[in-house]
Amino acid sequence: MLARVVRPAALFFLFALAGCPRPPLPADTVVLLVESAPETLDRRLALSSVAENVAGNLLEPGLVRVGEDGRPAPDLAERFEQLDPTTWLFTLRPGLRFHDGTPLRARDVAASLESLVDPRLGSPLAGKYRVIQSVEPLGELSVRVRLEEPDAPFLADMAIGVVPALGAAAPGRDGFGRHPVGAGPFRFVSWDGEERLLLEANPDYYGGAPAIGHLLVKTVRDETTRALELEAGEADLEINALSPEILPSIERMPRLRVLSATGANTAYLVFQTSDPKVADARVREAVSLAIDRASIVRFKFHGHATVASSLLPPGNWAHAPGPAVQRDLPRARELLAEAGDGPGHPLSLVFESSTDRFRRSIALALASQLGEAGIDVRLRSLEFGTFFAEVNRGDFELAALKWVPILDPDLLCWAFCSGSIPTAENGWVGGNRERFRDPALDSLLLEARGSSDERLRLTDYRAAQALLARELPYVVLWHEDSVAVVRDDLEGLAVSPYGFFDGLARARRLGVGP
Amino acid sequence: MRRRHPLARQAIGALAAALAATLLVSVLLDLVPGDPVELLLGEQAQPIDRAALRKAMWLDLPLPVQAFRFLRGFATGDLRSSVPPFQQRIWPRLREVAPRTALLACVAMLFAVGLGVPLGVFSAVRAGAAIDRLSLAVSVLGVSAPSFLLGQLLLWIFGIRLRWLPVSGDDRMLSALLPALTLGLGLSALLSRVTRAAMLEALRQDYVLAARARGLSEARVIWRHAFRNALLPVLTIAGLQFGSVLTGSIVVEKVFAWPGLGTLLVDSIDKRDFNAVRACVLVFTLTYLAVNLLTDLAYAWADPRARGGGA
Amino acid sequence: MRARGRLALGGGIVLALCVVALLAGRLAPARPGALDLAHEWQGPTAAHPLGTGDDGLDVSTEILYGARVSLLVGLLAVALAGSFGTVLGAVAGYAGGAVDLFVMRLVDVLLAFPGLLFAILLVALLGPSLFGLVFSLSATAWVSYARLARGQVLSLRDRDFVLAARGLGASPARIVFRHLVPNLLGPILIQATFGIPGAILAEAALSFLGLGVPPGTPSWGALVDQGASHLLDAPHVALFGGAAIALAVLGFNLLGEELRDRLDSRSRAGPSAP
Repeated sequence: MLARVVRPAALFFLFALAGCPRPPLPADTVVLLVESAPETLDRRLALSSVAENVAGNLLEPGLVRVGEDGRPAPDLAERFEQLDPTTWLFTLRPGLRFHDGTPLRARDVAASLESLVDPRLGSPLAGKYRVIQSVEPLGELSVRVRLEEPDAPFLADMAIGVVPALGAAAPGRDGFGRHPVGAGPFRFVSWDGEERLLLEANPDYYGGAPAIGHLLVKTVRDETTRALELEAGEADLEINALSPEILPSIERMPRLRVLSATGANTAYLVFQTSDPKVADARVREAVSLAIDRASIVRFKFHGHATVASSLLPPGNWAHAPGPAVQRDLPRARELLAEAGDGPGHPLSLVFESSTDRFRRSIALALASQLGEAGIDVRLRSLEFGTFFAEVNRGDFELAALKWVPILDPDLLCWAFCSGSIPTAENGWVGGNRERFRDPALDSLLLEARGSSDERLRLTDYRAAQALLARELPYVVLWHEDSVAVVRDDLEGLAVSPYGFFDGLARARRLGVGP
Repeated sequence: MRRRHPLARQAIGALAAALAATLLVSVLLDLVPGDPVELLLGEQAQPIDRAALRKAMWLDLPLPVQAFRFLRGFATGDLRSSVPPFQQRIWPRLREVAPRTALLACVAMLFAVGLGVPLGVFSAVRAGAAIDRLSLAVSVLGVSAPSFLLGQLLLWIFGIRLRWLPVSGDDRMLSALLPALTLGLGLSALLSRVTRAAMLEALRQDYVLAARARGLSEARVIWRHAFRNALLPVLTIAGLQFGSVLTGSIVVEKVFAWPGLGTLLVDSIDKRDFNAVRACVLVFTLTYLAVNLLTDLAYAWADPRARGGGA
Repeated sequence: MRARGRLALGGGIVLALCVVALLAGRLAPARPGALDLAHEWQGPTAAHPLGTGDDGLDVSTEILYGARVSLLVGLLAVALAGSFGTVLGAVAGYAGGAVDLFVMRLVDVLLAFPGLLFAILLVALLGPSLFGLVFSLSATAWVSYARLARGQVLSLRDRDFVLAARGLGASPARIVFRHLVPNLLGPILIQATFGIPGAILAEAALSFLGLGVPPGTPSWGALVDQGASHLLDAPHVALFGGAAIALAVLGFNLLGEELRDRLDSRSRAGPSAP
């Protein structure tokens, strides 16, 4: 009787085993671990950070790239200039070629930019590019872009991928996103649609062929498994795919190195400033003073973070240097008492965070520190979609969030201008979820947005940051490092503050490659 | 639910249940707060893009229409992911992940039957002896240990401490062992107890006494006579428990990062890929119903008198 | 199945659990929720007999207070599912016809639906709270009570005492609640005793998936969840948390079997999780 069960089962196994033959990887393959699979390899359709990173930084770069200081820098375009507030001229590098060998010309750029707002492509990013009025190729190498109105983040948005003009707008549902062609440092070899994406060095890359011959982008969803695969040498590196908690164990593993760079992101607490409970700036300052940022950075991040003094990270060109807030419990209690929230009538807040395990544990630590100052905090952790919806509707008292990545300082206007409050009328668009209103701040930030004079913008942004440090609609916490874990034979990897993968174009593995 | 229904009616009932489950999951997905469009596009998106995406995700349609479109896509094989870029076909994904879960579930069933049934037989034959009490203790523990604890324990011992087995990896067969063992152990405990009870019952029956009286060897009495009759309830329970093995795979797949149906389901919920969620639920449901139907068939085939009997 | 001491062991564990849940405040070496960031993920010491976990929480304190949550979730979920399922099943069995058909179809649908998935979606819907958790667990668990109650009612419906009551002009509601339901309590109680460990396991599984009790609430499942990502450096957290779950489940299972054997000499199939 049992034999009747066993025989088919054994056959089933054989089929299951035979069902997944896998060609061996080339010897010069470097394995990069990511935590989720990209949903597409077409940069113009990408929404997840993995897809943006793989498609944008490895396969299909754009005219510009965002430099470490948040300023746009040349990429496929060797020069760009603003002819007037609504006209830009981009000049391509000479001799650029796509992965399939065809030359990259001005009309490819025009077709790529136009395809973004073409309903046939249906890009979810279309909104950012509707400001473009026209794109004219001027000869082979120059492109003139006219805008409907001045737009500060426009230049940074020109990092969007450039693809061949042929079929750019209608790539077919199963086409381009699964067999991408760009002009990036790596070119596409094969993809099973999920876990394993194989790329190879692009010999025609304008910056020189990468020393890494083949790159396997491998999806491993479980964090412990990622760490064990790195330790076992089954993988060579990960970038920002391990939580800071696990780094001390990694640092003890003999053949692994932890590389770290200050990240262009900011973790913060946001108040619903229209709520009478926290409308008083003294209450918000008390919250800020009650938090022991240094010990969270030291013990929860194991030093892989920097205490923040402003929403703009220190590497950003518009960052206003300022002293980090030190914990001061007596002063916090004093401020609370002045605001009428003393021990007799303690302030009680609902504090929302996402269900992510590490974020939850940080929220718990923050809640406990606020408790020591006499603030009664009730923690709610919500599944990310719910959390996001409630915060965006302004339906919260206190919430923990992170801005990532922070590129252009115009983010300040998105986050704090009174015109940026999300409401039902504007379709809930806007980053001012705290409903903060300050006319002085508005005029500073709007002046900076409309200006192309960098000195004036810097003055405005510094003044705005000083005002925000007094009014505290946000309590900024820290900037989390970009952290890469690499095998010790991988050399020359520069860690990007954004966690971008582009450093791989210049890394090499010892003993392998040219 | 075994009642006096002809099998055809039962099959139709199963299909109706599967359809209702699809509708139910659509309703639940719709009720869960958090606008998927907002979640996907981020806050900087313009209303016009949101409206376009909402339309592309079918969210502007009434629920029954969404469910109908889903079923049509599922039936024709043209079903696609309902999150941008809407390119991922669901069927190839299912074909990729479902065999992995099937492999897991089948190896788990093998473990469960292979461990539980002999253990049950031995404890029945030696009822009250040391082996019986030991197997009782082991099986009670097996039923009590949560699968994710068992999984963590196995992972820690074999994967991290001993490095015997790959913690994840390309060798599907080897890496299936730990999760399947995790999944099967609880069921094997249950089966050993059912087997023991059924064997004790069978050993008391007249035909066993008659066989003994005819002077047949004890092994022959146990295996040819008692065991064959005891097998029926055991197989029934095993079939009925297949559903719990399937559901259990959701948690076990997470523990072992096994890229199967459960992982696809949980991932799709996170991504708000409603079509993928519906498809996973439908596959789970259909499999479960099919196994139940097969169990009923096997039951009817093995014992024509066994029909009826109520819940 | 006459293992000696089963009652003593099962009853002892369950009793100890209740005592621990009631006296957690006196037994715990630390205040619940007391953090110590500098000493997280450390092995057992004199101050922390079972070591520390995430944010430096004392594992032993979490386990003692976690008993409250586990018991509460188990009891409430079973009470809710048991009463709802019993009544619905009894009514369906007694009324028959369209009502019966409707209820049993609903049962079929829920049985075919992966229960854990149902709970995941419901928890996402209701938000993180003890009540949301209890409700989500009961939402599928009532099915087994309904089937059991219906089956029993079908066999009792035409018995003399019911016919007599009907002859005396008792209303259907009175017959169901005064005559039928009390006669069901034995089997339902057995089922409930197996339902409690089922609910405890399900709570732990949901917490393991990050969807359990609100953060800061001591919970065994949450301990396993936290410990899961620290198997490399602090395996004790997941193991102790899991051991507590296994012990509690063991106690209730043993007790349930003892009850079943006493009430029903013919042993039926094993325990079923909700």
